Amino acid sequence: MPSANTIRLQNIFKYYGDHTVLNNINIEFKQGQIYCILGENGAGKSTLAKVIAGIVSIDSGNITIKNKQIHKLSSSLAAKLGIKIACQENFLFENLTVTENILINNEFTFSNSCILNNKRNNKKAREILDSLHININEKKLIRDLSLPECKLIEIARSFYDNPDILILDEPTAPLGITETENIITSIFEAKNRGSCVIYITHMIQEVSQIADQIIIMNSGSIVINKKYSKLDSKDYFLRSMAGEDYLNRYPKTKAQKGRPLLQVKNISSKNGAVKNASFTLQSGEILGLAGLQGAGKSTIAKMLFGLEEAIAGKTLIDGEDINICQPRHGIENGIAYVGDDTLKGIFPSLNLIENIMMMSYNRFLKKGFLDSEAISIEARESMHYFHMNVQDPTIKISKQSIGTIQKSNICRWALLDSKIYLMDDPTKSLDIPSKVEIYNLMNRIAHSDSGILLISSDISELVGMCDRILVMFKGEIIKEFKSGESCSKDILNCSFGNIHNP
Amino acid sequence: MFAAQRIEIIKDFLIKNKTADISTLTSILNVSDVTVRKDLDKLEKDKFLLKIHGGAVLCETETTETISRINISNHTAKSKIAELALTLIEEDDSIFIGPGSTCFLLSQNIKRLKGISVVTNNVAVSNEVMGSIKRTYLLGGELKDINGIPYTSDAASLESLSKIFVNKAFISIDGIDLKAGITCNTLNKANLINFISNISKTLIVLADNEKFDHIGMYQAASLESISCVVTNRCDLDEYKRTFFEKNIKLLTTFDI
Repeated sequence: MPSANTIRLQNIFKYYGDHTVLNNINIEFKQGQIYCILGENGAGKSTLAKVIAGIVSIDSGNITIKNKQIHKLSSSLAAKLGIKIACQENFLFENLTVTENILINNEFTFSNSCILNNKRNNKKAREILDSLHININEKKLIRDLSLPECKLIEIARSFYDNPDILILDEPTAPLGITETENIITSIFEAKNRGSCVIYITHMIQEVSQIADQIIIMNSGSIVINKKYSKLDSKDYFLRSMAGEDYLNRYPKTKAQKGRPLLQVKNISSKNGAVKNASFTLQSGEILGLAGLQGAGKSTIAKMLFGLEEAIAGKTLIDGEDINICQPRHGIENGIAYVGDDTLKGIFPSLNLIENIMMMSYNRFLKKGFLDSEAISIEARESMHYFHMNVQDPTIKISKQSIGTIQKSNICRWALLDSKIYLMDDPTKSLDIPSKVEIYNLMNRIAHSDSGILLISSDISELVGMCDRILVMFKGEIIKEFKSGESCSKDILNCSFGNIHNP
Repeated sequence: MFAAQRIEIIKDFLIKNKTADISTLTSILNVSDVTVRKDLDKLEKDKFLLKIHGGAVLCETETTETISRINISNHTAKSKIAELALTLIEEDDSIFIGPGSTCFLLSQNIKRLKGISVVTNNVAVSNEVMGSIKRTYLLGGELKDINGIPYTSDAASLESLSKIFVNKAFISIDGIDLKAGITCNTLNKANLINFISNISKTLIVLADNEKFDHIGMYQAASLESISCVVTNRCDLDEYKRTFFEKNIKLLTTFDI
């Protein structure tokens, strides 16, 4: 019989570089209870879950499981102690069957046999799938399953063998109503068997159905840890999740709004992530795009730049109907794309100058050769103009700071006189000084007769820097907020699908 | 090189040489003469120059003359700061403008906006804006000057301030420091800033590069009383971090 204090976390800290992802976490999880953890994107919920499951190590603090203090928790040790997790990302092997995926970390580790795909194991897989009311053939390959079906298998894997501690990170996000109901029923069954269930979600509706205890995280800290009561208002939870609006820190200036640079009319993506989206971007404007992960924000930017296929709708640039099927069309029409992976946009073995000038080389062709002196001069002038003060611009760019790298990702477009900037989470991995520099850079761009579409999971950043904010939910743009009319809490609420204020 | 940089170079050239011809400009800028002509068109529209056959000639406007008379130090930086600070002012605002040359440069552009009321103790500012804006209020007191820009200074003049409402106050300072806050070299200025920080909704500090990590004689206000700092200096990582954490805007200049 496991001890009543199943897991205790004391003074847990976790840092990723400059960023404190878990800030002095102190919490206990007991058997036979369902704990719901809520919070914005980036609050630290998934990191906390991964710490408990041994997938992520901590920088300081104590973890005690079943009364034993654990000095170094690995994922295999966590599994041995009865902790199972279904992460947000699906960790499934595409080329293996459902049975093999369910059993691989459960049976294989502890058995001598290398063959998983036998009658006995298939039967075991079938049993767990049936108990969860999952109607998928256990012999099917993962690559033949749809995304919701993969999620169900991921969940089945974590339920296998009735773990003492079951962690589910946003399990119902891709699922339909019936499937969600089934999962919720199974969670109650797990609780009744004595398991401790840790359930991470965005959905306040689900919390009211299942929570014994509600935990709200914000910026790496636990701000609320209490017994769930039906009397608690939704507004109270939203405010705790959104935190205070420190809006004055964002260096927003108002630029003169001019002509409509970009008009998007009823576009839909081939992969179904975006449905019937319409909006206009004016020169001088910073237009924000908010929404949960998977709402379709990144896909819109990719469609406008030609990285994702559009199957319907029109895109007008400066009033002209333009067909963008590949990035070259985007570039020719003055569109700049700064993707959400800072390091993906660079040539890591080349230096800063080469990276910034890479797209402008055609201007420096002299009788078939590149005028390297002119290139160097313009590069240095641009670096000065964009306040990129680096000690040595001739070393490999991968050795520069991430702030400098991100600035170069933006500058190379400015050298092309781009007018429409699509920025996907541009300040995500940056330290504070670099963030402030990027915000000022955005001002500069807005003031030079250009427009920015700012996609971000940081709602404060959107409220602080944007003139207008569009909120997306399940592929559609459901509401527009004007600067001054919105606060983080309302936008957060809207990103859950609620058009009206609570 | 792109448009804004070319414009700066043409402007500098003309201020120095008074006239310029297209062929000289094309070889300096390394662009076609079509591009140079487009740049000259823009500058002519801005009333900076007059196009003549084969080139352009600097417009000797009152503004340029006034600047050379007053001889402002660190002029380029201060005018960029003033341009950027202008974007923080909205129509119908009631603003306070303090003494000093950066504030004077700010006042030169205020006429572009509608419905602005200005309260000031900076005589050059009141001269500049009077008649072109909705209302000008000059505080009285003994006349002193900083670098040729006269301002009034008197404890009694602060009394009259308490009856006036402003929603934004623009001041320049002698020093800004992470520990010491904003400081001034004269007690009068320090008292003025202290008073203003208490009556204005937002306090905006215009600080060129020379003012940072500098501590003047008298403390004028703590960092916490500042809403926004506008500067041309971009390398101050500790200031960026501290201001962000204390919820203070830090705007760095660029060529508008």
